[in-house]
Amino acid sequence: MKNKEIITTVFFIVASLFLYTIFNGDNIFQKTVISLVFFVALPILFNKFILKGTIDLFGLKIGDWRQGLLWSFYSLIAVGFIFFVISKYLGFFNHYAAPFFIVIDFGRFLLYEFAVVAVLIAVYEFYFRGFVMFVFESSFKYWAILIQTLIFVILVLSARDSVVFYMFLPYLIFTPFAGFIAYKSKSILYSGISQFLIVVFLDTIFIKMIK
Amino acid sequence: MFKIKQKTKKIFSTMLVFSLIFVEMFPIGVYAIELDEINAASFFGVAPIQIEKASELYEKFMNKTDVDAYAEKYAEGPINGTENQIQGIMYKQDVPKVDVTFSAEGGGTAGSIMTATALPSFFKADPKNLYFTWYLKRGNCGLPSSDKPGDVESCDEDSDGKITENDWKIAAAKIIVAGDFNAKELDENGNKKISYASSSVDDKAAGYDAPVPRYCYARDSAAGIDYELTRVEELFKDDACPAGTKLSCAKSGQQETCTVLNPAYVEADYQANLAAIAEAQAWNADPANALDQHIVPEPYAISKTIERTTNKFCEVANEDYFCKISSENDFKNYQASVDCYDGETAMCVADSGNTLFPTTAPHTAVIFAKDNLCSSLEVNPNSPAVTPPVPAWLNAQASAFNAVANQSCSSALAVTEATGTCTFEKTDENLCQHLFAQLPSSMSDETGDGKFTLAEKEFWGTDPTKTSTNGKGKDEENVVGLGVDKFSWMFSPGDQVGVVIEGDSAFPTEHADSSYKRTWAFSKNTCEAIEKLSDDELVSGAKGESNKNKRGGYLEGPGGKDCPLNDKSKCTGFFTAEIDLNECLEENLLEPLVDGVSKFGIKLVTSPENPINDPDGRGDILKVSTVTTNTQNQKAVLYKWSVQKSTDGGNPPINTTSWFDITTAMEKSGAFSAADASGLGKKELAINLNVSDEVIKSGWSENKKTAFDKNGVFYLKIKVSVIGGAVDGSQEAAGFAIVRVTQQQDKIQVYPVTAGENGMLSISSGDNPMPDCDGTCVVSKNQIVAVKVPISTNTTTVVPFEWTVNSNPIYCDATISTQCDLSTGSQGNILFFPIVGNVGEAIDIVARGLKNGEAITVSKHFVIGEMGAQIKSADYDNAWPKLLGYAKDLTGNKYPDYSNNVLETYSGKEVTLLGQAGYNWTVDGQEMLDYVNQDLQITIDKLAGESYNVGLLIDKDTAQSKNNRMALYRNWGISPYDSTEENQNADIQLNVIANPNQAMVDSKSNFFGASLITHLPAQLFFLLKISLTSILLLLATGLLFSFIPETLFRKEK
Repeated sequence: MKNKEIITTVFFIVASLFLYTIFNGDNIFQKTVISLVFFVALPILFNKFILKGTIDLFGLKIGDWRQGLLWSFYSLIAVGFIFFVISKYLGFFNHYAAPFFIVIDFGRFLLYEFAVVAVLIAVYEFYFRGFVMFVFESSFKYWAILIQTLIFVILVLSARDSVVFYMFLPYLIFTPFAGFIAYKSKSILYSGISQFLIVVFLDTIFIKMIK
Repeated sequence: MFKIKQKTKKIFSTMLVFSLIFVEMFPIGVYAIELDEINAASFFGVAPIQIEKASELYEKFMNKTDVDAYAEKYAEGPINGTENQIQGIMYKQDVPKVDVTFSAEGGGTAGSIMTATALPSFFKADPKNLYFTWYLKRGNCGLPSSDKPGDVESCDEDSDGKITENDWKIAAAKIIVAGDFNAKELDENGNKKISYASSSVDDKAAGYDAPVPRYCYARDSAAGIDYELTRVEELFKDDACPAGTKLSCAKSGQQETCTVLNPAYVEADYQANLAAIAEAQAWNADPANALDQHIVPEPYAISKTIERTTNKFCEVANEDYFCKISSENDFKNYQASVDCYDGETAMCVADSGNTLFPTTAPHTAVIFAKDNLCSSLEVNPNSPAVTPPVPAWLNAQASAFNAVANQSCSSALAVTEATGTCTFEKTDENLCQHLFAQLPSSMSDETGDGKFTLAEKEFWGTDPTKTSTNGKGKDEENVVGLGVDKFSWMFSPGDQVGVVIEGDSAFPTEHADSSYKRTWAFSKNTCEAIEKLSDDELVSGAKGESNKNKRGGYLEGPGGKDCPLNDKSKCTGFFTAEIDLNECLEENLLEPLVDGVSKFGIKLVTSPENPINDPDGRGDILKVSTVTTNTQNQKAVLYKWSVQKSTDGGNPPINTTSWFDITTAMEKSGAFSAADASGLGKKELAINLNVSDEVIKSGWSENKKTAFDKNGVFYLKIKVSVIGGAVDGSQEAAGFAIVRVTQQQDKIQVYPVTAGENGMLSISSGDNPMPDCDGTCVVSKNQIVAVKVPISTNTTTVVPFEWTVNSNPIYCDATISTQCDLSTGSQGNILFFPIVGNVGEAIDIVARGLKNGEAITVSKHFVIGEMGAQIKSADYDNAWPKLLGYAKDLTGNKYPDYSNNVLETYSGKEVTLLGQAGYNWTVDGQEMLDYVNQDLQITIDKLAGESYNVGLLIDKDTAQSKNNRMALYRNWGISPYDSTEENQNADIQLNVIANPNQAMVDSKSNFFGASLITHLPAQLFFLLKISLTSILLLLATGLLFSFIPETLFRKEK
C-alpha cells in the first residue's frame, strides 16, 4: 500500500469515527442507519472510489477454513478462560447489562441475538476487521491487528459511559482475537461467528444468573 | 491426501483435548463425583444414599454385628422373648382408659352441685361391674409433700395424723354412699337424729365382698408393657453350675507373699560349712592344739528360704453371690445373671481345690481356691526336699501356671464360660390391692370384706336402717364404688376430683388359667410411677436393696410349673414391678372448671336478622346482646367483643371455616368504638354495618369476590369472651353468633329529568344515569332529579318502594310523572324530587322495599353544590385539562390535580368543547354564531405557546328552564321567585403546547434562510444530514487523496 493511501485511509478512518461519534440518532432505527452508513457504506465507497479496490478487501469469503476454525477454537478457549477469571474475581456479571426483555421470553432473546447483536457484530466485523485491518494488513502485517484493536478501544472508551463499557467488554476482549482469526483465515466469517457465540453465551449466563 | 488427512486428524484431536479441558474448567455446574460418595439416587430425585467409604458397604452387609451376638445370647428364649415376634404384637393392646366430664347445675359457682361422669373404655366388664374409686381433694387438703400442705384437722378423714390420698377417697366415698342422707342432722333440741347404737340391717346385707384378684397389672403405655404387680425373688437352682462345680465370687489381682527356697542357697555348701565349723571347733577344743588354734569359719550366711510375691491371679474370694437382671435386653428376654459384690466375678469354680482349665497343662485359665495360692504353687517352706533343682514355679520355662500369670477373673471366665445361672421366681406374696378408701387403722373392719358393720355405717355416715342409703346399690358397694360412674358433690373453689377405675381389661393373662388382666385406669390416664419404670433399675437380689419401683421378670413353665432353664422355649415370661398405685392419684386430679366440659353458658342474640351493610355508611345497626346463664352478678363480669369475617365468601360457614378478625378495621371505620367493645357489664354491642368492600373482600379468592359482587352476601362472627368475678370462682366463658349480612346492592341510579310544558316530568328512555353520581352526587339548587332503583328480571321485587327524603316521606304518582303511574305499568321504583336547600347542604334519599322476600333498604346521598357551567372537552385526546401538580395525602399517596379553567392542546388538533341548548360560545372575544346551542369546534391553528380564550354564556331562558320552574311550582309548590335562573358564565383558556412528537423544526425558526429545512419532518431531516455528511466526507477524502503527491514520504534508496 502506498503512503498516500495510508494517509488518506487514516484520515478517512479518523473522520468517519469522529462523525459517527457526534452524529445523533433519535431512535434505534436512526442509530442503525448511522452505523450502517459509517461502518459499511462509506468504507465500501471509499474503497471503490478512492482506493480503487474491490469488495474482496473486506474478507467476505470462506478463506482458509482450517485456520479459521482452529484459531476460532483457540480464541474461544482463551476468551472463555478470561471471562471465567473476570466473572469470578472481578464481578463482571454484576456490571454487564442486557435488555431485560431477553430474560422474559426465549423468542425475544432469539430476536435480540439475531436481529440486534448479530447485525451489530456484522457491522463491527465489516469495519474493524474487514476494512481497517485488511486495509493495513499489506503494509503493517500483524500490527494491523493491534491497530484495529486500538481504534475499537478508543471508540468504546470515548463514550465515557461505564454501562457502555461493560456492555462492549466482550467485544473489547475479543477484538484482538477476532483480528487474529481474520488475519489468519483471510475472512471475517469465522471471527464474526466466534464473536457472536461469545456474546450469546454471555447473555445466556446473564439470563441464568438473573433467573 | 495423506498429509491432509493427518493435518485434519491433528486438528480434530487437538480440539477434542481442548474441549475436554474446557468442559472441566468452565464453571457450568459440573460437580466431580468422588469415588467414595454414591449419590446415584439423587439422579432420580430421591434422597441420596450416603456411604462414607466403599469399605463401609462391605462392613454393613458382610461383617457380623451385634445382631449375631444378641441372637446367640438369647437363643432358645421363652415364647414371648424379644427374638420372637409375638411380643411385638402383644405390646400393641388398647389399654383401658377413662374420660371424665363435668357438668354443673349452678354454673360452677361455690355451692353449686358439680357432677363428674366417668366414661371407661376397653374394660372387659360392663361399667356397672367396675370399681370406681372417686377421690375429692378440697382446696385446703393438699398432701404434706405438696406446695400447699393442707389443714390436717379438717382433711384427715382416716385419723392417721396426716393427709393422704386415702383421706381424699374417704371424702368422696362418704358423699357417694350417703347421697342426700345427712347423718349429722340435728333435731330441734340440738341432738343428733341418727343413732348408731344398733342397726336393723344385717352386716352382710349391706356388705359387699370385693375379692382381691390373683394377678393384676399396671400398664406402661409408652413402652406397651404390662407389669404384673408381683414381688419376685432370686432362685438358684441345683444345676446353676455344671457338675463338680459350684458358684463362687472370685477376685482378680490376687497375690501372696510366699516363703520359698532361696535360689542362692546351696545345701552342700551349708553342710560343708557346718562340717568345717565342727572340725575347727573340735581342733580348737583339743588341749594339745592350744598353741595351734584353727580359725573357725563363719556360719553359712545365705538363708535357706526367701520371701517372694507371686504374680497376680484370679482367686476365689467368697460365696456372696446374688441374682440380678443386668440389662434391658436381659430384662426383655427374662434373663437373669449371677453377680457378686465389690467388683468380684461370679463364676462356677471347682467344688474343691483350684479350678484348672483345661484340666491338664498347659492351663489357659486358673482360678485358685481361697487362700490357696502359695500352696498351689508348690512352695512349702517346711519341705524337707530343699534341694536343687529349683522349684518348678521359679523356673519360668517349667511352670505350669506361668501362662496364666496376671490373668483376671473375667479373662478366666471368658475362657471357662462357666458363668452360672440363676433366675427369679414370683413369691406367694400378692401385691394386688384394691384402691378403695380404707377405714381408719383403729377399726378392725376392711372395705369390701363383705360385711358392713355398724361401726362402718357410723364412719361412712350411712343410714343404719337401710342396706342402701342413697338408693343405688348396697352401701358397701357404693363405698367400693361398684358401678358408681357419677360423682356429684357441692362444689367449692379449689376442689379437685379424680377417679381410678379397677376392672379386668379385655385381654387375658398369659397364665395357664382363665384370668384376665386386672388393671386400673386413672382419670388423666397417666401415672408417673409406672412411666418412670422404664428408666428405673431392674430387680436385684443384692442385700440391702429394695426392689420397690424396680422392674423384674420371671418365667413360668407350661401349666404354671417351674420353667426349666435349660429349655426355656416352652416357658412364658412375665414382667413384674412393685409399685403402689396410690402414688398415681395426685397427678390424676382434675379441676372441674379447667378440665370440665360445660361452663356457664353464654348465648348471643342478634337483631336485625338480615342486616344490610353499606360501605357508604348507611347500613343497618346490628345489635348483639348476651344472654348469660349461670351467672349471678352480671355487672362484675368483664366482656370483650370481637368481630370476625368469614373467609369462605358468601358460602354459609361450617366448622372448618376460618375467620379473619376485623375488629380493629371496624373500630377504625367507626362501626363501634373500642370502649364499646370491652368493659365491665358491656353485655350489648351495637355495630354500624359500614364495612368497606376492601375489608369484606380481603383474603378472598377471585371467585368469591366475583360471587360477592353478584349476590352481595358475607358472614360475620361476633364473639364475646366473658370473665366472671373472683367471688364466683373466676369463671370464663365465650359465646359467638354468626350473622348473615347482605351488601347494599341495589344502588340508586340518578337520571337527568326532562320537564314538559305542563310541568310533567320524565326520564327520557335514551338517557343514561348521570355520571359522577356513583358516590355522593353533587346537584344544583332548584334542579329536579330523578332516582331509580333498578330491578333485575331474576329477582322478585315487591314494589312500590317507600321513599323518604331526609327522613321525610315523599312519593311520586301520576300527577308528577306518567312513569310513576302504577296503573300504567310503572313499577314504583322511580322518584322525582327537587333539590331544595342551600349550597353545601346534604339530601338523603332512602328507598325501602322487598326483594326476594327480604326487606331491602337503599339510599343515596346528595350534596348541593355550586351552580355553574363548566366547559369540558369532548375528547381528551385532543384537549385535556392542564395538570397542575400532585396533592399528597397523609399516607403519602399522590393524587393528580387538574385545572378546571385551563385546557391544553397541540397545534393542528380539532378540539370539541361540549355544549348544549342555551350555550353561546365566544372564542378570543368573538362570538361563534355557528355553534349556538351546540358543541363548539375549534381547529387549532395557533402555534405552541399561544392560547385561545373560550367563553361560554348560558342562556337559561329556555323552554327547558321554564318547564323546570313550572314543574317545581306545580309539583312541590316552589315559587317561581325562588327558582329564578342565574346567568352562568364560564371561561377557559385553551393553551397550545409543543408536541414532543413533532420535529424539532419549531425551535429552528431563527435558522437563517433555512425556513424550508426547519419545516421538514424530522425523519427527512435526518436523512438529509447523513447524506450530506457522507458526501462531504468522501469528497474531503478524495480531495486529500488527490492533493497528496505520490512521492511524499518515499524513501530514498
